Amino acid sequence: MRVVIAYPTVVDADAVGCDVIEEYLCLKEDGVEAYIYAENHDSTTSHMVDRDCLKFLEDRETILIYHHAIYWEKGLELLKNSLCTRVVKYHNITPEHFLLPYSFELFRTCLLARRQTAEIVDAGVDLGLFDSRFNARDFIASGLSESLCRVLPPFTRIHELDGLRADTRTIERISDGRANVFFAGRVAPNKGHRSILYTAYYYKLLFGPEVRFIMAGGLDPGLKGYYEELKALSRALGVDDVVEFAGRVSPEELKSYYVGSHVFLLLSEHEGFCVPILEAQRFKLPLVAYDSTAVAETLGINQLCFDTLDYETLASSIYTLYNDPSARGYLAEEGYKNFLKYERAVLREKFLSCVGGACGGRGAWGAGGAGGGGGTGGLC
Amino acid sequence: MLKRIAIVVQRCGPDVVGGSEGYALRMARVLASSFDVDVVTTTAKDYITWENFYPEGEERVSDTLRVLRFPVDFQRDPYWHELNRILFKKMPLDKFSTLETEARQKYLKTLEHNPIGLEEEWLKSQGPYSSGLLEYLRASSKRYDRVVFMTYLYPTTYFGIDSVVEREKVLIVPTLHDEPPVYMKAFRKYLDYRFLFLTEAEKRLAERVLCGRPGSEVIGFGLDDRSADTVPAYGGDPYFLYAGRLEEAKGVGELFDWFARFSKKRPGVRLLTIGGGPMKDFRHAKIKYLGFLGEEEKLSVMKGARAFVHPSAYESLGIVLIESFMMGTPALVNARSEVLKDHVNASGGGLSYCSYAEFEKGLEVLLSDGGLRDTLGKRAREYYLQNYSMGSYKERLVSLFEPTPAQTGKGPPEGLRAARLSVIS
Repeated sequence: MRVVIAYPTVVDADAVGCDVIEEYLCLKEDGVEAYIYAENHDSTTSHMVDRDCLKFLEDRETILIYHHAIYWEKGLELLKNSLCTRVVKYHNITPEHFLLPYSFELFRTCLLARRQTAEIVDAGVDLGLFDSRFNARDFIASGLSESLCRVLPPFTRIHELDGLRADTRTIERISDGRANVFFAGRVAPNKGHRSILYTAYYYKLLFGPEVRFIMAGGLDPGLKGYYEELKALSRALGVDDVVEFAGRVSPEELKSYYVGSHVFLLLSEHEGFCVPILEAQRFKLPLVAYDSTAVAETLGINQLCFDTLDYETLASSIYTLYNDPSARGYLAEEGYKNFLKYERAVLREKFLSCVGGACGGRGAWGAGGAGGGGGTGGLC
Repeated sequence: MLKRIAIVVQRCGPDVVGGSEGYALRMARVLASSFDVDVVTTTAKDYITWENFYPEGEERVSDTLRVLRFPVDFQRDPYWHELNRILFKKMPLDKFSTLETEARQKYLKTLEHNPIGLEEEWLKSQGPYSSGLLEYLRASSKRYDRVVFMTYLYPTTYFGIDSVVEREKVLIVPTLHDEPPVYMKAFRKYLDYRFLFLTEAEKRLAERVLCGRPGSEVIGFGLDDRSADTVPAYGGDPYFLYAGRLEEAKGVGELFDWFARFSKKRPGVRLLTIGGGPMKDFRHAKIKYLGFLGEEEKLSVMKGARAFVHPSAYESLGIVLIESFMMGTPALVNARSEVLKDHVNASGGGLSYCSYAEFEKGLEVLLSDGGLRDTLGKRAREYYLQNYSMGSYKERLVSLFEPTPAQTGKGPPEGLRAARLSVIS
């Protein structure tokens, strides 16, 4: 038995790339013959990628783990023509309507990718793996039986962030007595930046300007219009003095913001999983979140998550948490407990169980599979 | 069946100087007479750098006592000092102890807003951080009936308790000091655990700084009475003694300055010091460093002293003070340490000072009034016999490990109880 993992671009710095690499490493650790197929890679992943491995897709003893997160024309052909067991790992695709006002190209890419979801289901899927229960909805809506769906959260690089030293200049700069409210995520229209600005407005109005809303994240050149809109809104609301667009930050700076902030404000309108939730929880940073899409699911129990965007309430929650160390401590500890459920060792066991179940316990796992958990149906 | 107990402590070795480390080893020896005991520690010897020193692995001390050492992942370096400066707003430890109530409250208020993540980063980089030790606890804590963590301040305890799944097995001997780090909110997670305090003063401090009442007992300490077989040293000129870590944080800088000032008036009197630390090389004609002495020699020097001077504002027990009391030697202590002040007040076996004038007066009285000095010494010894004898300590300690403590639970804090958590409409 062997496993081929396929995704168009596998690089270490990318979230899906990280998931692909960790799956590959888990399989190798477990003694499974594993390959990565990718059209693009970088120097950190070149030794893992083997384009000749496509020949194994004609072998029924092979399992193909097909990662779906973007439009990939050739990928769909590979899937359709394969004779092996087909496992699809779905990471979610941003609904195209978010992008239409800013970039037709990105709108089109997302639209095509979402359309491919139905084509993938039509091509035949033996097992669907989803970052969250929320993610499974797209496949179930396209006709995949719920009994073939499993929730398998993605592997992350949080342990690497943990091992880094934070940038002390950044920590010192923000340790000036103001409440630090942090958000990390791409500058993209589904990420709720506007809501963060409105919250900043109400915070300043109700509690004064001793606050700093920091938004870190890279900007796609196609979304420059969105960024300009945010800057204009910030000026119009009069919150320029309490808002910082930090742009793309180094891992050391990112860690500084996590450990130097008081609240992580997550008002995103669409998330398939949301790794920054776990990053915040790892660094004991309490979250104030908006319950959209997969957010509450990833957040876990005993966390602060609102089902409406009431900016006064959000601002008041931030103020309360800043001034109440016990409440911050409670949310931080409960959040940390949730984070532990996503540690590599836990996910590794789940992943091997799912893949072992997909092959009916054949090959390296022997009869019964690696725990056999993948063989039972349902979104558990 | 013999119970298995693990005692987790930051360092442990024959030449390690430190109150909590010494306490851990003594506790291990006492418990090893009734149980199987493992001291789980790092290979570090130096408490500033945490450089790996002792060999990694198992050291068998007796049939029922082992020391298991794990290497530290990194040495303390400028990163920690930077975090320390940011977190504690440039407040030197020796200045904190001298702050008046209002200034102290104002300063502590500024610490309240420090993020827990930043406090944890400080804790981790402070060291000693040993992923091997934490991994051992994760894998092996099931084998122990109780896991005792020594000292609140170090990663071995802070992260170590998370590695023990069965919380009811955990006992923390926090050895709390009234110092800036104790006010970190990160430590409030300890409220979920059961404490063993060394003094009533330490218990009061815990309730104040952790903002709650942890399940706890005061177990104190015990010493085998060695007074009868100890001969007083240095029969000539009178001398005062300090034994312990020779560093600023223990108030040794102030002690040296003040004693040098005092010796100008009383040139015939010396201050002798025992122990180790960065200030051991301090040179003054009337201050003599005796080095790291063996137990017998140390007690002999204690017995011969006019008084034991304890300048530290940060003590959770003050073992050396109890040892001096055992030798019938009175004490002059820094009144800023609630623990030390409690000892002299409860025993009537010494004096305390808040200023140079009081320090000078205390030394002068102890020198010139031999009758008073002897009376204080007798009371000091009586206090030791009543509270710190080995027999009663052993009884208290062993009985603690017999019953199964009830697991303590903790819900959300008051402010969050009214709210429906996870999704709020």
